[in-house]
Parts: sequence; structure tokens; C-alpha cells
Amino acid sequence: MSLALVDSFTLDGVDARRVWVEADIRKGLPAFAVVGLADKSVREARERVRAAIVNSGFVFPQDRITVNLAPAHLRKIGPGFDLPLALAVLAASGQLTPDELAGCAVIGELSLTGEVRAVRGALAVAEGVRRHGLARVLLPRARAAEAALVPEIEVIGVEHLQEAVETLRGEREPAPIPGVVAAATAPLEEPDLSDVRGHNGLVPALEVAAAGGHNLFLHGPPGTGKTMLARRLPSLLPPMTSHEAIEVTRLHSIAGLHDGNLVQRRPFRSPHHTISASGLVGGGGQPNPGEATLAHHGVLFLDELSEFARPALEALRQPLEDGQVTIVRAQRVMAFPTRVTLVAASNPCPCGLGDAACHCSAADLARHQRRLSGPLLDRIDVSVTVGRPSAAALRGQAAPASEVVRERIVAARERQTARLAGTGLTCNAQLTARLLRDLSRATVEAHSALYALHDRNRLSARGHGRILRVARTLADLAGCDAVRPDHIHQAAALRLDDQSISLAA
Amino acid sequence: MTDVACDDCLRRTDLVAALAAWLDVEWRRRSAPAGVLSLPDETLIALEGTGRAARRYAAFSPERARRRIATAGLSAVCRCRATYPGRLRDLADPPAVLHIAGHPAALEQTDSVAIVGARRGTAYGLEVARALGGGLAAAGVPVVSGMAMGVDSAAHIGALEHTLGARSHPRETEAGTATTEAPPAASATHAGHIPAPARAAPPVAVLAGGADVPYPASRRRLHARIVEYGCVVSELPPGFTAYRWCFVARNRIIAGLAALTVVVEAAERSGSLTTADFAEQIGRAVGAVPGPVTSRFSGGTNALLAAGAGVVRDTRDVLDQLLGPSAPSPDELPEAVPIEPRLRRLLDAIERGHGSLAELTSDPDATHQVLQDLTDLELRGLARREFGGRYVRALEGRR
Repeated sequence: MSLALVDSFTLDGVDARRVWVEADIRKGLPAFAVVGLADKSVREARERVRAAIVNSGFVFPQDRITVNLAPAHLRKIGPGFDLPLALAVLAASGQLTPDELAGCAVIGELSLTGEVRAVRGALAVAEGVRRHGLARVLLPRARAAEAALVPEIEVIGVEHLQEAVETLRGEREPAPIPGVVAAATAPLEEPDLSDVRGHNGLVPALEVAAAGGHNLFLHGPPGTGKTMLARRLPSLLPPMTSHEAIEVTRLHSIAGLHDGNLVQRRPFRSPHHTISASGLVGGGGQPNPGEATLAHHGVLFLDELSEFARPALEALRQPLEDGQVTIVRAQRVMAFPTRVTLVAASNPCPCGLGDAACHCSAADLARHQRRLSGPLLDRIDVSVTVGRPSAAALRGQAAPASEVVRERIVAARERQTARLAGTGLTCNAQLTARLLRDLSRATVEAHSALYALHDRNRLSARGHGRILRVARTLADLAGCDAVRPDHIHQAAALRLDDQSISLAA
Repeated sequence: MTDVACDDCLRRTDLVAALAAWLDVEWRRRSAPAGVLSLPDETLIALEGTGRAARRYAAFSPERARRRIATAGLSAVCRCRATYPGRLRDLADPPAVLHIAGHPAALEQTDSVAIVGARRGTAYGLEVARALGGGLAAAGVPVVSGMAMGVDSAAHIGALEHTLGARSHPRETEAGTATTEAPPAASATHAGHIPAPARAAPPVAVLAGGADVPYPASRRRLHARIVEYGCVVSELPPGFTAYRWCFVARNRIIAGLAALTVVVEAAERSGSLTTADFAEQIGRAVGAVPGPVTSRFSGGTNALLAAGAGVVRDTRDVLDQLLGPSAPSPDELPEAVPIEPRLRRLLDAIERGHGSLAELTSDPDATHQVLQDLTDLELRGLARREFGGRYVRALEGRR
């Protein structure tokens, strides 16, 4: 037997693409060539494969070996092809039979001793295996639990090349998959709202943001607790559904961020303000997901909003609207899911010392406020000032526990889900102007309250919509079917007034 | 137009513009002769000394200067004419020519008030400037200022807000559309006609550079609005870019045009204090808005008060100082409306500077009521929501 075929997968954005690894062995001077648009790490695999095969007690054929990775147009990246390459060589040299490999996808990195090392994106690969109707997937044991999240396929986790071969031959039972969905996420670790003192008045603002999926703006001097509050927002969001959890796990696995278990906590990402546009939304020659995508179904926190580079914020604008990042490369378009709740924070001035001690000149302030008024504020519905809590407030009662607040939020989300059924939307923050008109169910009095505010405060049309959206969420939290004037008034006291910037500058 | 600026005054203006760079150096070295702008042309030319100014002075063409003024859409009036604002003649060095963008008639009213202050205004200063600007415009008193960032702009915006009437608002962010509706009526054919409600007083801005050049550039929409409803004036020719000394020279025109100069907010060594100095030199009244003694942004105004400037708390104080205690009260002075104790307590907290949500309540369950009350206070004009979400006391209720 001198020809063999092994199924494998490569990561392409956030998806796995099927790759066929073909090995051909024929008489000639000993050589080992890999063709098929393989990148450097795949070509280096030759040395690892040779050593791993020999060190695992198999024979490395002293002939001319050609390995082809098909389809040839797809660029293959990463060390995940080590194991399929080794198995293909073993099969082509008769040390494995084609039947033993049939219907089995293989992925894994090899060490020189033949040990199988973990690779990224196991969950995406497992999903690809299922999509292509393959029956089994053979991968590093450290990633078996992750892959086993995908139903209807057999997952074989191996730790060594020898073990892989023996398992395929049926000489040994596949090792049991280590505790699938191990409850590794200790709930104690999650920052809880009850840790917060002195900001009780801000709890409803967080509650509204969490309940309606509204993006939130925190404005205030440094050290007052903006970051602390933002970190607690994920704990207020309803628990992830299993579908959402799998989606997040897949993304984190591709980015190499997690330990092989199911991600159960909503992600919280807080990129530094020096991040580039492609770091934030994803990009690169072979596009990788960015911070925004890693915050999918969770919270993306941008501290010091005015310090972020303009292109980075501009790039984030569309994803916030569409719920996905679209990256266009020469011949293809990739979409990274990015449904996040944005929390932006900013100091009142560049020096951050506040009114009395501030050193900033008029020009500094003007620049700061101009940068703030940039592209992202359009997408923010709720805005609050975070002040320095007084000593009495710090001694006072702590905020309610996240669990208590979350119950109300879950109930409000259920109301939204019922109302938004059939629109493809999940929360009030996504309501467009037209849907808002049809679905907000505002009473006549509520509308006239809104117009009174409009006349008084010179709201823009956008400001109008924001207040109505937030009022809708407040009504949902209160368990009301209709939006009443008091909801409008409450929402108005949480609005983001983009027009009040210009006067201060 | 040609009959309102004489050749000599135009030549003088051209000379000052030509000497501007030299003057800037001298001014920075503090070696400029005292009262340099009041020196006669010959002395100025001799002082400069390179002969370049002398050649330019000899070759000056009044016709070209008039053409440039007309092309820039400005009108001009020189100190030899009767239409020149008489109040400026009190200055030791009245500008030779006033270049006017907008309606020259705006300069005719004698009882105008200058509202000036720091470019870096605090929320308090901006709020007071805006309220005073609006209140004075409502009382029919023209507001003169320098269109600088901060307090100056806030005063202009306050005045325009009133002029434009019910809430169509001259914010920088949205004024663009409104200015295109009515073309800026800068030509002399419109002179004398002010398309504003009869009672509202026209705003007047004095610039350090050319009257046709919005400075700072970020205030170009405000500039367009002032040109439309009042006028923008400058002593320097069109297109001129200001040097540092020009801002001080501009302040003397502001002080000269106004019967009363009110400094809203100024630190100990603020440039806006020079306006008060000029006003004092020519015997005009000076008022100042008191500020916290702990705030360095109010150091200059508090010092003015200590030196005897009139205390300005609201529009009525300004009108009292301007017209005597018997001044007619402005139209919009509302009655003090009694408010519920709950709102009163909230307003008290806001007045003490505790304007953020967490400071206003410590009970998460009561917050919804507080949110509602805040909007209530805002709708009554007692509080104003700042960018970000802090509430401050609004002065609209007591202009």
C-alpha cells in the first residue's frame, strides 16, 4: 500500500474547513515533501512527524514521501496537521489500514517523543466533523471534553501517537473523556454586585443596561469605581443558554483563551486603549477574531474611551449595529459573531482630576470632548455619572447581590423575547426606529411626555429613539405592557445627551 | 460703502496690519512702547525702522482695500464718520476702522453689556454666562463678547438661544442646517434690517483677527449665526490672522463698545481681566460674578469684587448696574414657583454639588422615583443634565 487519505480540518476565521491529507510513498531517494499551500508551521511538521514516528516505535519509510493537503486553494495554518500527517504516512506505509481510518477526522500537534499536544479550535473542528457527516474525530485528550460538546459524533482523545494508532486499530478501548462540562467555573470567583459600596443609586442604571442589552456610558473621575461597576455587569446578565455557551467556547477556543471546558460565564473583555483597529474587531492576513468578537454574548469594556484611536472606534461601529464583524479579504468575506453589550468609560477631562484641581487647558478639554463625541456615542443608550462616594455611603448598605437583580432582569428579558418573537431580535437595544414605533406600545400620554422633553431639551431624533428604547426596558422591568409617562421620565434621566458637549467645549 | 471709511483710516489700518508681526515680537519682549496703538502713523513707521512699512505705507491703495472689504462681504466704518460707535471714542486709541460682518445697526444701541471670562470655564461659569446672555437678550440689551471658547461662547449662545426664540437651538452641532436656510445677510444692502424678534437684542462679537475669519475655527457655526442675527466686528482688515497682542487689543474694543463689562469667571491672571482693566480706564462700570473662594478659576473675579466691582448674581443685578435700580424688569423673570418638599430636597442636593445619581440616592429601590424627579426638575428649568449624566442647578428659572 503506498497511498493513504486522512481527513482533517483547518481553521478559517471562526469556522473549520475540511482538509484531505493524502500521502504517497514510492521508490526513490528518501525525501519528505508537503504540498498544498501549507504555511511554515505545517512544513516544519515534517521534522516533528519523522521524530515522533520513530520515537513511538514505528518505522519511518526510507522512500520518497509526498503529502498533499487538499483543497489546494485553501491556506493551511497551524501545527494541527502533525497528527494527520503522521497517520497518513503510517497508513501509506502499511502500518495502518484504510478501514481503520475511515470516517475519522484527525487533528493534533506532535512532540518529538510522539506525545499529542493540545490545539486551538477543537470545538469548531468537531462542529465541522458533524457538518461533513463524519462519524469520529481523533484529537488531543486535553481537548476531548470540548469536542464532546458536539452531539452525534464519537470523540476519541489521545495523548500519544502510539495510543492513537492502537485505538484506531481497535487494540485498546478509547480512553474515557474527562468529565465533560466539568463544573470548573467556581461561581465564587465571579465579581458580584454586592461587593460594590457607595454606588447604590447606580444599580438601576446597570439593571436597565443588562435588561435591555443597552450599551452603557460611565462618566466620572478616576478611582470612583467605573471599572468595578463594569466588571459586575456580566453577573447581571441572564445565564448563557447552552447554545450561547457553545458559541462562546468555540470562539475562545479558536483564540486559544480557555482551558478546554465549556465557558459558562459571560465574557468580559477590556482591551487597553492602545489597541489597534484589527486588534479590536479582528483582522490580519488570515483574519483572527478580535477583542470585540471574544466578548460575544458578554461585555466589551472600553475604559478611557477618548484615548482609543479613532480608526479602532470607527471599526467597532458597524459590528455594534449588525451583531457581527464582517471582514473582507481579496476573495472572500468572513463574519465573526459580535453581539456584545458595550460599556464605555471616560474621565471628565484628560488629566482626570475633576473640576477643582484640573490642569487641563480649554484646548485640551475641547479635544477630549471632541474625541468623546465620536462614532461610538451614537450607539449608547444609557449614561450615568459615577461620582466619588461619600464616606457615609461607603459605610452604608452594600448593593444588592447580583442574583437578586438578575431575577428581575431575566423576567424582563422573557417579556422582551415574547414581544420580539418573529423579528429575529433578542432585546430592546436592537429595536430599529420602525420596530420601535410598532412594538414599543407607548401610551398617548407617554408620547406627549416625550414631546415635552423634546421641546425642552432639543433632543435629536436619535435621542428620541434612545429614550423610548430605554423606557421600553424600564416598563419591562416593572412588568408593564405599556410604556407610561413615568417610564419616559425615568429613561430621560438616564439618557446620553450628545448635544450638551458643545457648550462646555 | 465707500463713503463710510476714509482713505486715511484705511491706510492706518493697513499700517497696523503690516506692523502686526513686529508688534508681536515687541509685545512679547514687553518692549512695545506704552499706548503703541495710539501713536501717530509717522512715529509707528519710524519705530519699526526697517523701511518696509514705510514703502508699503506710501504704496497703499485705498481702492484695493475697499475692494477687499467688499469681496469679503464686510462693511466698514471709520472714526471720522458719524455712524462710528461713539462709545469707542472714549478709548485712548480707538480703532481707525471697524470692519463689520452682519448688520451694522447692531452697534447702534448704546446700552450694551460685555460678558467675558475664561476660555476654560467650569460648568458653573458656563451656566451663568449662558443665563446672563439669554436674560440680557430677553431684556433687549445687546451682549458683546469675544466668541472665544468657554465663557464668551456660552454668553453668545445664551443670547442667540433667546433671539432664536422657542428652542430652535444654535448649538454648534446642529446649526449647520439652519444657517443655510437664510443666507448670511452680510452685505450692506441689508444693513439696518435685523431679522430677529423686535424685543431681542442682536449679539455682537469682537474678533482679534479679520471679522470674516471665524476664530476659534471650531466656532464657525456660531460665527455664522452671529453674522446672521447681529454682527461680528474687528479693527483689522479681512482675512487677517490674529497675533497674540491682537487679543488684548480686541479686549479694549469689547470694553469700549459696552456700557458695562461683566467678568463671569476668571483666574488670577486671566486674559479676560484686561477687558475689565480697559473698562475701568475709560470709566465704565465693571461687574463680576462671585465664585467659590476655594476655586482658582474664580480667583480673578473674586479679586475684582474685592476691588469694588459690582456683584452680579443674575440678570437683574446687571440691569440694575446698567440702568439704575429703577430698571424695568426683564420679561421672563418668572415667579418663584413653590415645589414639593421631595423635589426641594433633591434640588438642595444638586445645589450642594451632589449631582450624580449615586450621590442623590443610596437606596436602589428609590432610584426610579429619583430618576423621575430629576426629569421633573429639568422640565421645570430648575436643573440641567450635563454631558455624562451629572445634574447641575440651572439658572433659567432666575434670569
